[in-house]
Amino acid sequence: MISFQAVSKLYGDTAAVRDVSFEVPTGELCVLLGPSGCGKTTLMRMVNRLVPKTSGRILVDGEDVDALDPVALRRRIGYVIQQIGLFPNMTVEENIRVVPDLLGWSAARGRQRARELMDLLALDPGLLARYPAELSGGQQQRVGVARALAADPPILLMDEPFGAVDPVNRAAIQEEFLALQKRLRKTVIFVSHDIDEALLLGSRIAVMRAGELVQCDTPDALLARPADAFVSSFVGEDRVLRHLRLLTVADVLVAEPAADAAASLRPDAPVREAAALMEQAGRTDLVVVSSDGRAAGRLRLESVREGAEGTVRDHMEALGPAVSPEDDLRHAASSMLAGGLDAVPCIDRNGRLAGYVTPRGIAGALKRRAGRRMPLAAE
Amino acid sequence: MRAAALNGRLAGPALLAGLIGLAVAAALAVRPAWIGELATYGPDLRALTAGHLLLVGISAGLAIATGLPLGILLSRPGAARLAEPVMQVLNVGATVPTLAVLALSMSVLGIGLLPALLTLWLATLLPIVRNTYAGLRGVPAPLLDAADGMGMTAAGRLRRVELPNAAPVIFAGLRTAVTVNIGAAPLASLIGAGGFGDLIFAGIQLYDPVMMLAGALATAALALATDGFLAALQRASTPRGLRLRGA
Repeated sequence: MISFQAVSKLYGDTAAVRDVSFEVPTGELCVLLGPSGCGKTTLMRMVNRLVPKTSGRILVDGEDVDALDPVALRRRIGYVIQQIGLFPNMTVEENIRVVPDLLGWSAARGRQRARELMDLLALDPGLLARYPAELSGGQQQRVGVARALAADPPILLMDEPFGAVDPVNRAAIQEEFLALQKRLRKTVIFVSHDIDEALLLGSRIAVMRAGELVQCDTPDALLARPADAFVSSFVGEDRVLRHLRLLTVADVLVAEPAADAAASLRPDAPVREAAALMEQAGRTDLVVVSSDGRAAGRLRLESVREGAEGTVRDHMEALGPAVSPEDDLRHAASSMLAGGLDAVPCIDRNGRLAGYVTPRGIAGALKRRAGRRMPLAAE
Repeated sequence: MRAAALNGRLAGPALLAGLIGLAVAAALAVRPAWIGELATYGPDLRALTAGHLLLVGISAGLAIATGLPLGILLSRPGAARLAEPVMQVLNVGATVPTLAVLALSMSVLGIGLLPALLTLWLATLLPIVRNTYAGLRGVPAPLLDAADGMGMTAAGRLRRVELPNAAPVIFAGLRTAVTVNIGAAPLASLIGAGGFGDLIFAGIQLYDPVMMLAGALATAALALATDGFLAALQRASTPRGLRLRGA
């Protein structure tokens, strides 16, 4: 755990960081987010004492960093910077082995570890003997992350580590890093000015402005309840759309029409009853459910409206667009708009109808989150 | 930019060699008889070589032994305030003609080897200190930040990151220094310190162009040979990863 307690940094009379207090629990990735010059990098660099603080305390796993030897402290904290800073005079392997060598690991153990890391970051082990100048930007960035992970430090400090990579590669490396972090569960402080990156990677986000911490919250809470106008404008006017990506279909499912009406939607039910149900529920499109609960097909109101006869099965069509409970809401909203539907059915892994995503359901979920005033720890 | 500076320095000696070669070829074409005459200076040159090499070896060796540490020291963050004034003093010092420095040191130390060594040492010191300092200061800041952030000590950072990455610039300074040194060494003859200068200045005084040419050609050949040797050493000492970047 990293704990900031009333940390300030003054340059002359100007405060680069002013009285910041918050905690990053073990295994979480906390994004320091803010415009350039807001003090986020300075705050991060005070953790490994590259920048001396003016006042306050920083505890790493309960130990005051000021009580530790800075060199020893830095060797147990991984460090990645935007410019990557690979040493051009060393091969990839030598770069990765810098900290293990400093810690006095045996050559065999260092070599073994370098190979493991290439594997972990999906890099060709043949690159170990190459020099940084021979690698692409994306490869260099991955080697930069591998180098920071070399001695398996419990803590990582990352200063806009993917900022210098082109957008296509950046998205890929962000996803890879997210998957890696889910496995490794490092305690990470990640500096970024990109709200999308913060929402994707952060398990919590600390928004800074002019040296002060404005809000530290989960991505969900940050989008739902921005603390003030600054946070609100920084997360963007389209924050609702961003929020959709953080919520899953399972969060907003509605069982409409009510479950007891489902009998009218069995394949063997008279189609007249089904049509009446659709009229009553105000829906133009419903999923036909067989007796074992599986989705059998769909029934469209326009094809059964005027005096249709027979059973539902006679008028049923193949199942149209559907989503699964794990999908994010942006995906669901997109299928809804693309299909011209007023609701998208959600079919679970077993092929059963789990409910519908409706515009009202989405709006309700967003509203519930915005209104909730739970302490962070309870989330 | 670094590559361009390096190429500039490489072009210098090559251009000089070309010009000297052209001038000598022209002179010999006009006076073919000089060729045979030149050959008669063989024994003199052999006798003077040891003295010239002694002058060059000791003064350049001392300049490297003092210039490198001074350049390193000035590039340390603790010496940041001192560095610019010291570099300014060295720059101004470099504008004083070597002949004047020679006269000054003679007035203090008398004639002979010692004042000559002092003069050549001073003339050689500046390019070494300046390039060592500039090379180390020119190591990109992110490399230093990464080295510090990973927990290198100051000495470890200097040895593993700064010196290897500054090596091409430092070596360019060494080459300039040694070439300047060999070229200035004949002046030492004026205060009785020996070397190829004995032939050159005797040639001037006796109005014997061939004698002068013999001393001058030997000096130029030594300068070019030494520079070639240092160039090979520079290539060998430049980390492979840096050569890739330069290419």
